[in-house]
Amino acid sequence: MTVETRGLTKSYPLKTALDRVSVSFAGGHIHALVGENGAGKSTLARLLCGDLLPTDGSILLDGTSVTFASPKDALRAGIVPVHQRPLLATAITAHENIILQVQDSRARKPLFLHAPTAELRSLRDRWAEHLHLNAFVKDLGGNMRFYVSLLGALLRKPRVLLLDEPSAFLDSTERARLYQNLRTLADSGTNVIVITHSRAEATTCADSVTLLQNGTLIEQFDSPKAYDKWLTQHPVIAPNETPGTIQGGESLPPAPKQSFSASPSPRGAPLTPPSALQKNAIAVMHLSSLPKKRPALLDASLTAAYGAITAVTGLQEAALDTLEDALTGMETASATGFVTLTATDGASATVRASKVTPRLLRVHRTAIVPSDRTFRAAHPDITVEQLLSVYAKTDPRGTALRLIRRADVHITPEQSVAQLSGGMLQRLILTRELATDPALLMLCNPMQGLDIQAQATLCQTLVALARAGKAVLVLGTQDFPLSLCQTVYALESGVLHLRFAATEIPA
Amino acid sequence: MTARTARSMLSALISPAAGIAVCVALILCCAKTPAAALRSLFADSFTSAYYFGTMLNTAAFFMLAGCGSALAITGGVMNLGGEGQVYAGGFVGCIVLNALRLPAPLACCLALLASAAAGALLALISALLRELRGARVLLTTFLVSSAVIPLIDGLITASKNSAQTNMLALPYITEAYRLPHILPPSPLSWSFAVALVVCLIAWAVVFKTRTGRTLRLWGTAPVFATYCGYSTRRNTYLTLAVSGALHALTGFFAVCGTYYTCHKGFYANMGWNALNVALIARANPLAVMPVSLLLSWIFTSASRVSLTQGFDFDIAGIVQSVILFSIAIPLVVTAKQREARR
Repeated sequence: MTVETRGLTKSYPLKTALDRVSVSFAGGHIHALVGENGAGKSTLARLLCGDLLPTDGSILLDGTSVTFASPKDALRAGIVPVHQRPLLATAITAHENIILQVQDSRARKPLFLHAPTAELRSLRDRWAEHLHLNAFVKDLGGNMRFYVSLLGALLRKPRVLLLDEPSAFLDSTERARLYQNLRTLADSGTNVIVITHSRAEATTCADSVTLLQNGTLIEQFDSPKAYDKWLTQHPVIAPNETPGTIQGGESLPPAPKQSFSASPSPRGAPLTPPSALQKNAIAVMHLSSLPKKRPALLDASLTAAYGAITAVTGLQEAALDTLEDALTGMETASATGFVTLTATDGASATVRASKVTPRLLRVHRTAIVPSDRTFRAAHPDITVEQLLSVYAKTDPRGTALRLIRRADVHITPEQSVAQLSGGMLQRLILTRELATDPALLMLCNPMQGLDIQAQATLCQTLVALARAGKAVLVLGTQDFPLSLCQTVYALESGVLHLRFAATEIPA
Repeated sequence: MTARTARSMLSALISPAAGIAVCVALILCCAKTPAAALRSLFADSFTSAYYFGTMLNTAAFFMLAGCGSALAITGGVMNLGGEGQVYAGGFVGCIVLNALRLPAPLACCLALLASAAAGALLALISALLRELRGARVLLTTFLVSSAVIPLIDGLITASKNSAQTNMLALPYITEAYRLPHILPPSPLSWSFAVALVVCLIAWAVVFKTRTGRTLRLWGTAPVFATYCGYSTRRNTYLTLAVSGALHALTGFFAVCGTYYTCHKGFYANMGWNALNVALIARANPLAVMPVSLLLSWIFTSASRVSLTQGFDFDIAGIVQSVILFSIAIPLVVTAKQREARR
């Protein structure tokens, strides 16, 4: 099925998110939709799947104009979205979630009475062989949650499959397999539209590339080669170089347009005195955590020093999520070991790992950016004012307005968080956390969902913070340049190893 | 007003409308003189000082207890123990007023505090069970209430006054401690004004203070609130204590301003009606005021028609069930739809 938009526009009171975009996505192909954060990719996708109503313009399916009053209309027309962070019911199993996605709301049969069909098993074996259908979603990592949503979408036999950053939580093997399967699906006639930040994905896996910027269509390239050629002439808005690889040694991208930081020291400021560099903001000793049905963290000891960036590389299967939950105090019931938090003035407190709470960390001036930005660092049902004023004692609206200005996004405090794009939300969360003037900053998969500009800005901000004497701890380094880190740990099979420790902050 | 607000208000009115519709249908089917019954249903509450005062007095109870329920919902906990807390508040208040021989203002203040403390303590049992055992507040508040009600029933039955007067009630409180009726012969007292003030204060706390902001965040996004370092313990204890205290104050004012004694079963349905009010008002203390007035009009009118038309059954009870169902069904359907959308 060919999907076409003509002059598609979506305007909000303060911003036009999509401005007269006319594009065509032919059936039987993989189309990459690229652009920086705020380019309008998510808005276009939401319009196509009936999640938003256009202010102007039209959507045509095989040349026939259609109006989607709700996502249900789009689903009936065969357009099935798979969101980057799908909203799943965490208290039930992966299989039950898939049934909920697929079953007609009028169908009446208790969820637990459904048995996985042969079709579902076959799809699971082909797309996500490691997914346990009987596992509770609360016990699944980001990649498996994505597969749950994807399998539900595939069972609907989509004519148009719309994937929002499908590889965000996948390692390189999983990505390769995903695109291999998507190719097979496209060859069978399905129209596959993929939103991605990855240049590699756009140029090697897609048949056509559509580039958006600031809500307008820059160009629709019929072939990845044309897009690649265009990129060489316009490097500033190029998406990430290589997905899922460690980018050691490369230079930082051009200067950013906006800054996340509250008041970071400028690049090139004097290094923090060596004595301060030796002081650890956090020291973790023999931390282990054995959550039910999730990868076990067997032994993790690490330190994050003031004035340095410390990173932990690893995958969710290697218990990175478990480490994040334990370190951020979100799930410490089964944790053992000790955590020492040392203030900048030298005062330190050692607590059992099971007693670490987000509150304790906040009291010790720790800012946290978790990997789950949607439900942990924010919530779709709250307003931007509530999102930004959580730490404000007075004047929540004023605080929200100040942080909105600082983050350089065009929204109002009254807007719902659900209306924000992934990149915008990430920017607001980071701005809010930095505004607390933390001594220690913990970031989990910080590059996820950011375009190259935003990634560059983030890297520069982190370096500036480290130079200002803050401790920066990065958990999950997908797309994060390890050359910026003073110390790097690797998490493998639940055990943390020291990979390297530099003596000073990289220039 | 945004379209969303308008839709929200409209859906909120569906439950009372369903209650009225069922009431009218019952009258048309079962009343001896349907026309007179309908006239009585819609008009008599406003033409008679007694009925009008009774309606306002009932609304005062709904407002106080409704605020308690609304605050609990706002803070993300569901207090189903309203009945027991109202009963305990009235019982303790009556005992204290009977025991004290102090100037009226002082005695009333002490009784009020004791009453509020009783309700708060009952609710805090649930908070404690949640902290120690991870028990669900929804269940434990109901269970504690279910245990307390027969206990108080037994204490009233076993009291000396019941044995002496053959009346299942504690002794009447002395006249000095009674809140005067302001619209005789109706039982309306100053508790109505107190209820209005409580609603306004609750609204100000919820929407104009940092505590209220925290409370709302807990109700909407508990994981986010935890991540931000908000104290789960503090939120649960505070919310339940205030909710329990407000329910208990309802009982206190029922004793001090309406019945002047604590008789067996005076709490009947106050807790559930408060929950109705809070759910219809979408847990907004300001909206609790008009919703309380509306529901008290429906219930008092339905009860009156039941009596005057010689019905063998209580219409008010049926109307209450219909309202509760019509609140619950959309909630269940919405939850189901949300799950399906995910």
